[in-house]
This record gives sequence, C-alpha cells and structure tokens, in this order.
Amino acid sequence: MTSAARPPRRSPSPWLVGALVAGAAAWARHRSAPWPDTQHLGGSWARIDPPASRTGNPPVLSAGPDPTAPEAEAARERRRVADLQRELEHMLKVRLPAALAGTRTPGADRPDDLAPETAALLEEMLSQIGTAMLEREESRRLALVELASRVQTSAHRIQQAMSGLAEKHPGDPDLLETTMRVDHAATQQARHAQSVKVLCDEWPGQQWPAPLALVDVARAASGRIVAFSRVQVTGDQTVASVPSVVEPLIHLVAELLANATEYSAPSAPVTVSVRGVQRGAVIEIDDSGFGLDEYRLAEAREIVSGRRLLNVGDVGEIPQTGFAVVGRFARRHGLTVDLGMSPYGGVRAVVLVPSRLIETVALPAPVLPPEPAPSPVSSPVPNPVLNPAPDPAPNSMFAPTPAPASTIEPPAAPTAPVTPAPPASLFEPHTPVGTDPAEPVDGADVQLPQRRSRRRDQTRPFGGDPAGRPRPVVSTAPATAPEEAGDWMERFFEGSQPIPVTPAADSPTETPSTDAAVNEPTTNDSDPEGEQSSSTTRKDAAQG
Amino acid sequence: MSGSGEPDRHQFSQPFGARPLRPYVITRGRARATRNTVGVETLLIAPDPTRELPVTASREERALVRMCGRLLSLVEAAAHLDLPVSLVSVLASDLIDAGYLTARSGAPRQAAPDSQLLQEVLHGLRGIR
Repeated sequence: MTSAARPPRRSPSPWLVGALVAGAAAWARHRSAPWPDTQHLGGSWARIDPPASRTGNPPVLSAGPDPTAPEAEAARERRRVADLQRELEHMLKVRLPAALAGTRTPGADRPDDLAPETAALLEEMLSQIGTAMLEREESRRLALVELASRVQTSAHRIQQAMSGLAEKHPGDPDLLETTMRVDHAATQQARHAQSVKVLCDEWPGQQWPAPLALVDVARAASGRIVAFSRVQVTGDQTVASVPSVVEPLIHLVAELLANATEYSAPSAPVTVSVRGVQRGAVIEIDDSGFGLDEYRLAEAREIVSGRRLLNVGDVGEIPQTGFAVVGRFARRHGLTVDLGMSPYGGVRAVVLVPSRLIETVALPAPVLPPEPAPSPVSSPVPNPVLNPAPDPAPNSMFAPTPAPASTIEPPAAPTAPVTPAPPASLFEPHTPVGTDPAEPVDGADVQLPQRRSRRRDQTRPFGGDPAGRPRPVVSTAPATAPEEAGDWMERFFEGSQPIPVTPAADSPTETPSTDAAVNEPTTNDSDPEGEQSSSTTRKDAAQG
Repeated sequence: MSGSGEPDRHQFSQPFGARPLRPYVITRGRARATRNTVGVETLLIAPDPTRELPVTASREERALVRMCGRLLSLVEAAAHLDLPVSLVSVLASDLIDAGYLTARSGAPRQAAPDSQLLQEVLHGLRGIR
C-alpha cells in the first residue's frame, strides 16, 4: 500500500506562457510607440506627463529643455515597468495557477498601480484562459465517461456470456475454469472503467437490489482485483450494507485491496475483518507490505478520506487511481476512511460505514419457500437437532445473493426462535414426526419415496377421470416443463397399462404415507416437499 | 405458497451473471472439486452440525453445512443456495475433506425406485415407438 497519489503536478501549459510573453511583448511595443498608443497604456504616466503627450513626442525620446524632466520621466517609467512586471509575476505565479487549478482566482496584486486598460486586459486574458480550460476539461470529461461506459458495458456483457456458458455446461470443469478466468478479467476491466468514471465525477449506475453482508462486500471486492485468492475475509456475518451503497462499497474496498495486494509480498495474505461497532460497522484491511513513509501516509490519508479530491487529470502519468477513487466514494457517501500503520508492518485501511448505511441480515434462512417454517409439526421435531447448528451460526444464510431481500427480513432479529424454523422448513417436509438426531437418514429415506407417492397420488385422479384435464390439480405450483413432462409420462402410462398401475404400485407401506400427505396435518409438509423437489428439478434442468 | 417464493427465485436466479459475488470468488478460483466422487446425486450430511466452521468460512459454506443437518442431495443444496451445481460440488468437496460433511453416494436402497416403477417406465418408453 504505498501508492500515494502524488500531488497534482500542474505547470502552466506552454501556450499559456506564450500568451503571457506575447502580452509582455505587446506592452513593450506600446511603451515605445508614439503617444496615441501610450495614452492607452500607463494612466499615471499619461496623467503625470501631459505636456509630453501633447507635444506628440515619444516620451522616452523627448529631450526637453528642463534637465530634470527626463530624469523624472525615466523614474516614472522605471516604476511603471516595475509595477507591470510585478503584476505579471503575480499573474504567473499566483493567479494563473489558481485559474488552472480551478480554484478561486485571487485579484491583481496592486490594481491601483496599473492603468485601468492594462488591468482590464489582464483580467480578460485570465477569464479567457479560465473559460477555455473549463470547456476543454468538460468535453474531455464527457468523452472519458462515455468511453469508460462503453468499456464497462462490454465487460458486463462478457461476464454475462461467461455465466451463461458455465451454467450451460455444468459438468465440464475445464470450461468452467476458463469461464472463471475470463470472468475475472472482465470484472477487473469493469472496475478500471468504473474508476475512470468515478474520477470523472460520474457515479456507478449499477445498483444491487438487496443488502449485502459486509463480509460478502469484501469478497465481492476481492473478485475485482488480480490477487483475489490472497484476500482472507473474516468477521461478523450479519452486518450488511444497505442496497444503495453496496456497489460503492464494493468498489471502494476493491481499490483498497488492490493497493494492499500490489504493495505487499506476492505470497502474503491480505486480511479483511468486519465488525459491528457502536457507530456502524468497520471494515479493516491489513497488508504486510512495507507501509508508507510519514509524508506519503499523510498525503494518502488526505486523499482517501475525501478531504482532498483528485480529478482524473490529477492522478499522474502512472495513474494511481486507487486512493483517489476511495476518497471520492468516501466523500460522496459519508464513509470514513483512514489509513495507518498496520500491526503486520504494512498499512491498515479502516472503513467506517455509518449506522444509517448498515442493516442486519441475521437470518440464515436458506432460500426456501419460507411458508412451511411456522408449520406446527416441524418446529418441535427438528429443533433438538438443528438448534445447535444455527445458534453458533450467525451463519446467516448465504445472503450474498442480491435477492435475499425477501429472505433476509430485517425485522427478524437474530433471535433463537426464528433461526431454527427455516432449517425446519428445509428438512421437515421429509421428516416423519419424532425424528431424532440419529435418524436424519431415515427422514431422507422417507422423503424420496414420498415424492414418488405424491406423483402416484396424483395419478389417481387421472385413472378415475382420464378424460378430465388432471393437470390443474397437479400443478398447484407453476408447472414447469419437467413437471409437465412428468405428468404427460404418467398419463401415458395410464393409457398403455390401464389395469394394474395405481393400485398395485401403492405398496401397503406406502399407502399410509400418501394418505398422510393428503389428509393429515402433514399436508403442509408434503406440499413444500413437492415444491422443493420441483424447484430442484427446475434447477437441475437449468443446470443441465 | 410457492407462488410467493417463485418470483424471487426467478428474480435472482436470472441475473446470476450479474451478481456481485463472482463464481471464482465463491470457489476461490477452483473449478474442480477435490473429489471426483461428488456428483449431483451425492447425499450430503453434516455429521456434527454443532462443529464450528473456521472463521474464514464463507457464507455459502456455512449455509451448506447448515442445510445438511439432514441428508440432502448436492443438487438440492445447490438449488437452495441458488448456485450452479458445479460450484457447490467444489464447496461440498472441501467441506467433506475437512470433515464438516459426509458424503453418501447414491440414494439409499429404500429411496431407489422399486422395480415395478422401473418396469412401468420401460413399458412406457417402449410404447412410445
């Protein structure tokens, strides 16, 4: 983490200096020109020396009878030249740099010493320079933003294509590996493009729909840098960022991680820890590099905190955009970012996310049909088994996915009663009442036949009413293609083998279970079970 | 019931390509499971659900171990996690290696379809021609 963005290196561009020189030259011409010109120039002189002006002689050349006149005149002349020179110096050293830096331009040094016309000319020059600068910078900014956006868009397309490809061929590790590589490269590309946009004062348009646990923010951020595998994330699994700052936070942390990994040994891990604090949550990033010397550290702190904003033009010839981007995000979203010495010897970056941007995603509920959770039967049973697991588990479910909004249910404080329920929902459907920790296998054993019996169950109506459209009954859940196919197959069986199928298939042991599924309170269970399996099937189909 | 769950599911199974957590981050860059015996039908169970995972365990891994408090097939776990099966098999293999999960290949005998059903399928398939 030694990347200190260097101080803005601004030297007046040659053409500006040229303009000044030209101005000075023009002045020199005026100075030696005959009076109609000189009258325009130094007011004091013209005022003080009317006779000379009236004579029409160039003041410098005039040699009057009074011996003191030329001396006085020469003195005035010298003073005038000195005044102008001083004013030009002031312009070059103070006013012009200020105008170029876009800060408030100080006024003339001693405006009274100049002829009004001269002063006006100088002002005019300055304002023209300022306007030209602004216009130029704005058009450059727009062009950069546009180009960066295109790069970013194409990177996102690549990512999407790769994900699609990977999902199409789930069984091919070679292909999967390649898609990961391409995805990784594209992700970094998108980040660099977005950095440029941020430095151009343009903000990421991408938004994530759901809160994201800060540990996952850090992991997502690690995916945007080269050495993502060196990043080790630990910490509170339940603290999350509100959706609006998910993307900014990911990008900010990614830039800090990039610095941390680039400026420490290639094999050294970079540790990220997340913890909730009184005023929000803190993300700490430690590297074990050489750290920054005092001066650069101070400078870097100015930048990352957002106290000093750098533009895209300020980051230097070897652009070190990281800290500048961090600072801009920090300033915009009210994040507190600071750097310091790490106990590991390198730099420690600390990001404080204020509480207004923090949510809790305590719920470890998997992405399941949440309904069966409260089902009466389940809760007593699996609790003894599952309680221990969920408890230590702030194991909020893999909330990272953008959608968990629904799953996450902020109201759900990480209370014990809530936690066990979802797991119950997960497994309970398969579980015959009275399962013990030892029995999960049995539960699962039952689950599979149950699924089958459910089908058979549904076949009955078909048998009874072959002409009727049985499907509505079957597909209480949105009938997806595989389900329909299954139904069709079943009806097909019915047609081909009308005699024995249904009755014979229901073995004595199974019949009760199907009955239970239909009539008894366990109905609740069988239903979700069906959904679950069907969703699985769909997923499966999607995978395949 | 499922109606309420469905839209969500679709909502975020669709933009998988646009998730903040990229697949290579989830598997720490690996595309291959450490065990080639872990397939979609492999049944997973956490032998000791109370055992704490290492602090560096990801949320996916934690969720996986949690949901395997009961026997669960890999493909089902993947569906619940809403992740591609290939990724979950990598995670599951790691967890099996580390002893947090136990794999049982194949469905238990009772769960296997009985011969009658297979017969029916066979008949049905033949009947298609």
